[in-house]
Amino acid sequence: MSVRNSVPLVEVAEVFNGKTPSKSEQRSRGHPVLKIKDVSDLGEFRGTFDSFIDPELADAYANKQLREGDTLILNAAHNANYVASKTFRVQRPTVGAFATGEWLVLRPVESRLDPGFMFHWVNSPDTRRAIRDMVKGIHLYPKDVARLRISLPPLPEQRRIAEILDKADALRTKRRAALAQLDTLIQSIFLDLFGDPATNPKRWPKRAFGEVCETRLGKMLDQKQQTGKHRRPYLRNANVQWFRFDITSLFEMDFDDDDRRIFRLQSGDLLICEGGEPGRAAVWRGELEECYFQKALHRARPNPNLALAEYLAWLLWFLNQAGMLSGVTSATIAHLTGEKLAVLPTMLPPLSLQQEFANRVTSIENVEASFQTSLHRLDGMFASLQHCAFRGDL
Amino acid sequence: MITGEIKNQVDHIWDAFWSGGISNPLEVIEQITYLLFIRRLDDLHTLEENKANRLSRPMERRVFPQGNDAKGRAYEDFRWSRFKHFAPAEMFTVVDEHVFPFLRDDLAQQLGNGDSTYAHHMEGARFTIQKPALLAKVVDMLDKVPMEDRDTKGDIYEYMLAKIATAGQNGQFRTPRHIIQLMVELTAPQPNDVICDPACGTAGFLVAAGEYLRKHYPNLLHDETLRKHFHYHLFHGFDFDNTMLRIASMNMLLHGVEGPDIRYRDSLAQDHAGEEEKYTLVLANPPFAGSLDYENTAKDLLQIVKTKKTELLFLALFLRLLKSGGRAAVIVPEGVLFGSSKAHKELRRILVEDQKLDAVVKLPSGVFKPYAGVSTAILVFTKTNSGGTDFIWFYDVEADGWSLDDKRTPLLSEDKLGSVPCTALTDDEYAMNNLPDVLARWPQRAGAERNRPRTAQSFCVPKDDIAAQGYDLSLNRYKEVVYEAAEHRSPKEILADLWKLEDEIQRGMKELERLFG
Repeated sequence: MSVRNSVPLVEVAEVFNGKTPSKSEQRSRGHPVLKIKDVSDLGEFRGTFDSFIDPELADAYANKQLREGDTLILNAAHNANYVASKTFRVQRPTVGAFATGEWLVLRPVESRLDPGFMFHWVNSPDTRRAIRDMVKGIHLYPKDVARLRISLPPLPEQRRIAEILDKADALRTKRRAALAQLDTLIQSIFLDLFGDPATNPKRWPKRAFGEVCETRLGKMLDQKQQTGKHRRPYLRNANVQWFRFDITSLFEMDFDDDDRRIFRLQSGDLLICEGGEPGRAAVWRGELEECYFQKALHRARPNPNLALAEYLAWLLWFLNQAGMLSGVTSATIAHLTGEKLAVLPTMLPPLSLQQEFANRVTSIENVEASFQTSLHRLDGMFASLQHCAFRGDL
Repeated sequence: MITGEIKNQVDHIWDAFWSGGISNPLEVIEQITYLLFIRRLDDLHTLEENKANRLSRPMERRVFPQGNDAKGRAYEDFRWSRFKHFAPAEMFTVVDEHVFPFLRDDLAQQLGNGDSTYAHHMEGARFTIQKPALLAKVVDMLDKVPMEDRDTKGDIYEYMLAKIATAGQNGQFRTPRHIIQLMVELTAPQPNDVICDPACGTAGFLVAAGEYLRKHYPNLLHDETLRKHFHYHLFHGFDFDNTMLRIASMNMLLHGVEGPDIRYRDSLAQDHAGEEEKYTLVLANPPFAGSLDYENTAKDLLQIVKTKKTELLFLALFLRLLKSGGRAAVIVPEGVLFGSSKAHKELRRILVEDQKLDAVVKLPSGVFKPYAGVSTAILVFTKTNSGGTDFIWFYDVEADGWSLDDKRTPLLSEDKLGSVPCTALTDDEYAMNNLPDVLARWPQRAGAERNRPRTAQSFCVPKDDIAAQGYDLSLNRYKEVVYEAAEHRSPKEILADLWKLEDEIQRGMKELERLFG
């Protein structure tokens, strides 16, 4: 197969835009409308519609009703970079839905173009690049897309290629699903062992967080005081994510001898965000040999006889989920001040149980790491298959 | 309430200004105010004339003198009923070159003490309509608006004032009328009160207090002493914006208060000698945010609390203005309730320990939309100088009858809005308008409300609890939320799912391999 067999897309598929119902045509029930936001960035239907029109209106524009095999491309957005970033393959639950005007619809002539083949062709890096180049301002126009050339192997070959890519793609999807399951697994284990911290059904004793941990805020950054002499990397709010650190970009400031003594991080320190998403926490495990922390973060060193940092990080996660960390000053930017953190009621299950939790988390994290590697490999495999498929090497 | 037809008439006047080149709503309302005033002067004059005719005596008091003004125009032509029939060009000359100079220079003297408040604010009057055609049109339209009935004319003016709000001009923002009404109902003004709003704006609070008194004390104006008090001593409003003062006076006038004390005062800057401890009721929604220099702040306020924050200085001012035993209902930004500066804490301590803090009514943060999304609360307190706070009543208003977005569309029909709706509300409707519930529970604050749990929409907190929290007055500090236990799948189920996924991945790999043959 080569470029010589290529035809303009318009010869083998209809290319047109959907239609956005006006405000007065929208209903709270009736014929479903597929909006951009109903589809995830990964091209998956989110499962429910929230916009509807009268069936009569849908029938008046019959060809805007989606058919199995259609491929949709996002054709207009406020930001040019977002145009064409989303594609969607119409399958069962969305068949028949009414496409809004922000979707460009590709409907294959099935005697010449296999729908699956078309979908994968649209998503292949070469086609995506070509479509990107067609974006004018913040719009993608059907007449431009119609002119794209598509190489057409015989139908059975198209089907074979589509099947291979479908299967490889399904593997990635499953791997992502498995990763998501691991996250809920940790939550589930926590609830199983300790119960929901919002209600504390197992009646664990509670102590003030300030009695469980020695806490302090980090060093205030003062641009004027910087001499450049003792520059050291430090963590700021953005570096602390839930249960992990993002240290791809670390800033530096001066830390003199005293500061270095006070603010140096040790393995086992629990770092907690003061603002942003107050309470977001992760346990430092010496990711960097020498590192410090800034005023936007609390450092908590648990009393080893009372609590484990891993347990506390997850406790904070549950309290945050229940809205128990940021409720007080909702009108202004939410903060978890030192005062508030110190008095936070902290339920304390026996250390042995906390240790058991930490062990399980570690083993789950190991599995997670191998799943991540697996996902990267699968992504690589899919890209390679895609590459070969549309150059005729599969 | 005024009818749709009258609203249409007013809207047309507004459109006429707009297309005539005056689009600033504040300027429009100012010009209309002057014209309404001129029309009223004519009515007053006619009244005196009729009286004189009836008694066959010369007029006791003339609004317009006899003869001609300095430029040779007959004073008789200054009268609305005369110039409204003139051709546009001539009407314009009369109003621009004769009537306005008369308003500015001679009127106050002419009227003597009678209408002095109003005449006084006309002294700086500027006529800014540029085109005779526009003037003729507006005069013609205003002439058709019924201004005889006190209820109607007040409502018409309020309707016009609402347009300033819609247009969202000028920094001060208008307090929604239903919130004003709620505060008035909470404090229940008495005929012998002396009410002050030291940041009165368009005088919304004073007008509402006046209406409340007329409604609850129908005989008020039949008692000579009370009538005098009502007209000349009950209402006091300060502002430092002359345009606002004119509008406020006109608002009071159209609501039938003859001689309110609406005057220029920079409430935070000027010394309060002569004003302190004069008032029995303060109703206000002072401008929040912003700060002042110590040099520009009245020393007596700084003695109460040393701060630059206007919202705190206003609280100090209220305490200063009130007589012992006086009540206040004022709107404060949420920061006042929990701010941790020394001044914040000290003021709250004063309110709780030295005075009697009655209630904190938290308002939804959309109340002032579309101007501001700030969170606010109504503080209700009594000045005692000897404490007296035992319990503080908290109410968490979640819905005030209007949508809490920028549109603020009414969620209920007109008869079900406000704190005293004409039609009783169902439970579902209460959820959309909490204000009647606030009023119903307020009198129970020393009784049944004491037993409500902290999870309820309203509850009482003993003073000691408040003191223990550093006098933090934010409702969320005391409110308890009912948490529902999180639903979760058991670890076993999740592991089973994971095994299933692994199995599927394995099988998928094999199938893929097979496809390559």
